[in-house]
Amino acid sequence: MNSKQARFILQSYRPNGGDARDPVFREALEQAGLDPELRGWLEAETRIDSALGAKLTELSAPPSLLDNILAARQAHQSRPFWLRSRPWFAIAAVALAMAGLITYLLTSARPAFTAFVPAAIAHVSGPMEMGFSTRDPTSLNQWISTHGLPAAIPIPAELGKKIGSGVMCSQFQWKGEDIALICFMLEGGRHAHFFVLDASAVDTASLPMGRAYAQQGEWATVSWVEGGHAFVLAAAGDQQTVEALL
Amino acid sequence: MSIDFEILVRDYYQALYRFGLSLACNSADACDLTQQTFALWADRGHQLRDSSKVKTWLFTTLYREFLATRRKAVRFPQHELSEVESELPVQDPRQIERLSGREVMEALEQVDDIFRTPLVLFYVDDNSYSDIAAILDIPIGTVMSRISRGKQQLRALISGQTAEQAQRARTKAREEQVS
Repeated sequence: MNSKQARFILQSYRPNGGDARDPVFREALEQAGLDPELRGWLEAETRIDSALGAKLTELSAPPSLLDNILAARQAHQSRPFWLRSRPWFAIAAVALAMAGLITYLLTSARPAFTAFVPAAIAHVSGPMEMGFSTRDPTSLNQWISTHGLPAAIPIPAELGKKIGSGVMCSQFQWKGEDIALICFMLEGGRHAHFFVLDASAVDTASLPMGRAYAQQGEWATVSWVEGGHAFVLAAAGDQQTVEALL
Repeated sequence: MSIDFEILVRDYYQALYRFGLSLACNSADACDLTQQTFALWADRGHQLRDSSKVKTWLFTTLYREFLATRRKAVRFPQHELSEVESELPVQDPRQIERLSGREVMEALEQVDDIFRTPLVLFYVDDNSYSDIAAILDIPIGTVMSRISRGKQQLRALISGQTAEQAQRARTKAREEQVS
């Protein structure tokens, strides 16, 4: 590890020394022991971080907040037991089980989301006809809004920075569902492909909470569900390649 | 698992309020987020099996409540296309001492959302990088990258603030000399 890499890692090193035994920081701390300049930088960084943290603790919540929180809890406790939430959990659990059964019956007729990822890779591995291209975020927004997609698609932050390098858009069908595809130009002539589909049209039950990473040959993918839509980001490389685009 | 509610509130409400303030940028919403978080704990906290995860649970809940109530639809993040330098500007801790907590928070509020959130978690209540990754549901490498970039933006903003303060002090000194 060189000092530049150590410096990057040590920027997340807590000034209270809480990370001193964390193996993630060990090599970086060893490097600081060997490099006087890095050691000096770390000492200064720790002082600055301590100062900033201390300044933020000067901001106190309004005096009434604590009383309000405790009073609300008191009011909740004084309600008749049948109106408190806990007894309703049993009813909610039954309703949830019923909803789960109905969902299962409905989703068993829907294609599995896990089947979409290989299909998406196959689509971008061959020749594609991209009907629209732009470098302008406003134009991209217009394309999105005129193709049946919600106004606010959560394009990952790092990927969003690539719009200025050029994006190409198209729609295609998969098992009767419309899929939006936004292709981002990356360095070295590579592309990142961002797929958007209606989450209610596919069975997403197999997706874990949060993001799901997968490797499909030379392609790395990350999938997630958010705000009623399912998203897949694919790029040639490995998991780090797609993580760097999030 | 039973955790005394009042002790929990007293231990964490200030830190949660500061986190809520950094997200919502106003005290009233920060109070609402904090109250709502503890209300949810009152309802669901008993489901948490591992008491060592209480802090992460509270911060995650507040963050999700904020996201759920956020009205502003962010379509595309606003970023400079030019590469950000990897070296942090050198800063004198004495510059920070001259600022109030309110001024530091105002500087933080100008940092891009995506960098501000992990940065505030880093400074408020000494959350570790792994806590922050769990709260925000992002990879650890992304946490470190965003803290790094957040620090860059914050340092630049604070340098600008302290430069303004110094200029105001010089102007005031000149006016006093003239009078």
